[in-house]
Amino acid sequence: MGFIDAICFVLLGSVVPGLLGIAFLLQHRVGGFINIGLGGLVVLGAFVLSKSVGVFGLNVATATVLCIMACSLVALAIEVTVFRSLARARADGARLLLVSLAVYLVIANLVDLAAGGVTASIMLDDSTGTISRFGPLMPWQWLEVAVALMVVAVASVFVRRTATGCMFRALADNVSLAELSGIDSMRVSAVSSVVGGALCGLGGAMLAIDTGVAPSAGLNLVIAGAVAAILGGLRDISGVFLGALAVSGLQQATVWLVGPQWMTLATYAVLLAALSWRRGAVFSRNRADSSIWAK
Amino acid sequence: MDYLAYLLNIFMIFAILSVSLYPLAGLAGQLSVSHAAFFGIGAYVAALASQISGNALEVGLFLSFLSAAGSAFAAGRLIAPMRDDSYVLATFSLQMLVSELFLNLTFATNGARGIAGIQRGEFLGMDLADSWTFLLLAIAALVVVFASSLAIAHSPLGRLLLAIREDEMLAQSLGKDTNRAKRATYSLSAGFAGLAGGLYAHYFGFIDPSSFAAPMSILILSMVLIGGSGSVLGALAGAAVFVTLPELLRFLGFPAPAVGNMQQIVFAALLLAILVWRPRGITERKDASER
Repeated sequence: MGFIDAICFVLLGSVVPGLLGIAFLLQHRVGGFINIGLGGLVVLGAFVLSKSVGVFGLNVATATVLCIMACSLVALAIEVTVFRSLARARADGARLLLVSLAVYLVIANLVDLAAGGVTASIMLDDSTGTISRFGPLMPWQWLEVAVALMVVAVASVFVRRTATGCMFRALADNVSLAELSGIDSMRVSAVSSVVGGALCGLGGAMLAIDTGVAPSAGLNLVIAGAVAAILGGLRDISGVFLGALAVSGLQQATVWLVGPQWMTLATYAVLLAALSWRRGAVFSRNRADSSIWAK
Repeated sequence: MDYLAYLLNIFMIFAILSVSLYPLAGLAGQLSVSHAAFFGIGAYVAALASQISGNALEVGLFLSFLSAAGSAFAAGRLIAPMRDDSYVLATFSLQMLVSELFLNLTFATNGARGIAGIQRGEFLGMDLADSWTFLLLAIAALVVVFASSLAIAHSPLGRLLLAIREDEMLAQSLGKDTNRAKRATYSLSAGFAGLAGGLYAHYFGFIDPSSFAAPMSILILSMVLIGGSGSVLGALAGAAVFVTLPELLRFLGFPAPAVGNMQQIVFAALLLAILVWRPRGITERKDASER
């Protein structure tokens, strides 16, 4: 495999961790907690896409929009019914994380039941040999990379330039001050959940098109996103993108050097190393920093 | 009668698991999501020990305890200083890491195919082939773990763990080495989980990585929290719910492949309900204002 091919595969491998990393960052900075439940939404997104195309015969573009909407709605429902009451009760981060794990279990098992344990995927393969590759990647894989880059750009502009993005940053900086200045923290958290859900839906759709998603794969996917966000400094969206490239590079290097079966283990080892290196202070919400969230 | 012995044996094993987490989650308020990893380490070590040392279960169980406690002691160096969500995430990462090792260290674990044909063996000369005889050993192990947990709760260590739960920084300001206490409790707790793993491997005769994956860790913690983390008896009650739920689902007509999913959904939903309704009351006593 040539150097250019390797770069292309690293770029492709960074797409889903990048999208999930942004969702993770939004939830952590705005909602104030680590949301593992996002992994369930990815699995749900992949399932909705595969059923929409395979059973209802929708085209891929329409099915993708449908799965983004479905995941956004589910994320909003979870935010309103579960996380909002916990936020009102000032639950600490550990309990919120535990709740998100329980949410993940509920969604993943419901999808598993509905899918009968089958991997959610749709066939866009080159079995007819009529689709031309551009370099090592298929056309839809390039499209995924392009869409992911566009999402990073749009999300960066959204957080930096729009009124809602300004509210996101205000909440990330200081919840009490933001509420005193008239920002409705519950509404802004709900918006961040909807955006996070949409990103998870998009990530799930991309995975279903590209490799397929097993109902139990959500945890590994969301942790890859979390590691991307952590390596990116848990600050801004472009940092998440760079973190996703690092995660993908690490995973690809593990595949080439040791073997594909160790890829997931390498991701968890990096997470554990990052947590122990900072003595668990990775997630401390020191918001008076120089990141875009504090501007 | 055999079915009853089967149910009682499973209850004893999961009760050991649940009670073993009580000092850590109930007393110290450390919501560890890595217990299934130590449960698995104990099970695999017992399986390997039985292949090497023959039918002497006492050797296997001792090694199960020791290996799980030792692993936790080593990991505790990294994990003990962490707090809140970082602690939960670190224990969760450890769980996932160990799960991957179970899957990929095929020379020892046989990967996803698991290890079959583990004999029940003998314990101090007593043949354990009969489920009722095995139950005696499981009861004895539960009594040891239960008594140890109670002893910890009423010891200076237990009071320090309560202080850590209420205000760790205050405990540190009084000169207490909270990290050492957390690490010791984590190791002991993991050791008991390893013991449960050893019993599990010998009772069922087959183990594979799916029995020791991350959802199991969440379910074990759920047992403690659902039963009521304020008491050892609560942990026992949680284990009873955990064991009887799949049987109830089967009785209600759910197909066997769906029972595992349903069990996880119901337990996660129960956990959600408890955490949502009593977000600060799970590992903390009610404030005076709440009484």
